Amino acid sequence: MIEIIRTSRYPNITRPKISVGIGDCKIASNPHVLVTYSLGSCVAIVLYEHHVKTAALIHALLPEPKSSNDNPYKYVRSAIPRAVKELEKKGIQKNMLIASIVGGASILKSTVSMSIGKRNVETAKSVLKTYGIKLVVEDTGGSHSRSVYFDVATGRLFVIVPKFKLFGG
Amino acid sequence: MKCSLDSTASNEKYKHIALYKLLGEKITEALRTLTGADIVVQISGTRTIDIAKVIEKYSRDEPIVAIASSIYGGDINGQILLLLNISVARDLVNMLAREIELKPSDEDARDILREFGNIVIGNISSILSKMYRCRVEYDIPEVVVDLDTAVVDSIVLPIASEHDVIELHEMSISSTSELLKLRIILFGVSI
Repeated sequence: MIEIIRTSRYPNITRPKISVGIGDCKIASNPHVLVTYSLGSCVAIVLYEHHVKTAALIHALLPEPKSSNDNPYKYVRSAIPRAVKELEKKGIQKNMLIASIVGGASILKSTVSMSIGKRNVETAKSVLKTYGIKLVVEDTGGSHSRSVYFDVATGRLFVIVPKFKLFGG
Repeated sequence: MKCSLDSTASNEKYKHIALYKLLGEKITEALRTLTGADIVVQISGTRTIDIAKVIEKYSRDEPIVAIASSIYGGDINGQILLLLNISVARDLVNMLAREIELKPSDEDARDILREFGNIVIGNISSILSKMYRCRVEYDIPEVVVDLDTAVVDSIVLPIASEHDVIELHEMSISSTSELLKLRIILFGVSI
């Protein structure tokens, strides 16, 4: 299963980390930790096969692609099918996957980013449903950035919400 | 209502130069009055840029203070972003708080920065109104302290959902005492 741990500090995990950039996806097995930083209205989607301890972590920017030539991992709609395909190449069956979604915040309320974050989350849920992949946990919305550590060995998903203050405690 | 550019700046080639010169002068004046510091405005430029490059340029995964607002009126529809690193924001708040003999809390600091943004963005809006001969309005600025990548993608991604490139106007402001350093970025949609 996937267990979400919300924290304001980065976890102290010594196992090797694999960093996932913006508009990117990485697949890793035990003992690796998949990491992605600074999700604003972007979403991170974890696809996890907990029996064989293999996972994909996607960091997608926007809900829908504008053209078929674009990087598929930039868009939620195309990123999930591509990641599922890559997992299948590694022998992972689609019906054994479980998922988690993190992100989709609206950092600046005055912009229309609120709708982008929300649409990113809605699109992810819709695509997961189409593929029959169960969404087991999510940490979405709100107005703060998030970073994600996914420990493939344990299924623990650390969601780091940093707290910044200008003055005072 | 359609806006038309004032005839004194109607040559497309010089449009942005004129705009920047005016913006620089007005913002310098406002900041000098507010802070009492000797302000220097450096105009970094204006250009169309790929969305991904904007995110790359302004994203270092570092905490930052952002003062953001939308501007709109006629054909003008853009986002203004004032970026300050946290220590600069603290210095600025201290400079401004001294004027009203206030020892600021975190909430006071955000209010002071919001008011500062209101003055700067108000100036920008007023200049654009005169240049484009139409009423250009703006939303009350928001102040957020968060990671730069998340702040920038909040502004850029909505534009990216409809356009591949955006118009980016950038200027940086510093004082000779090195106490004040901030960047002003205007995001506009390229047609």
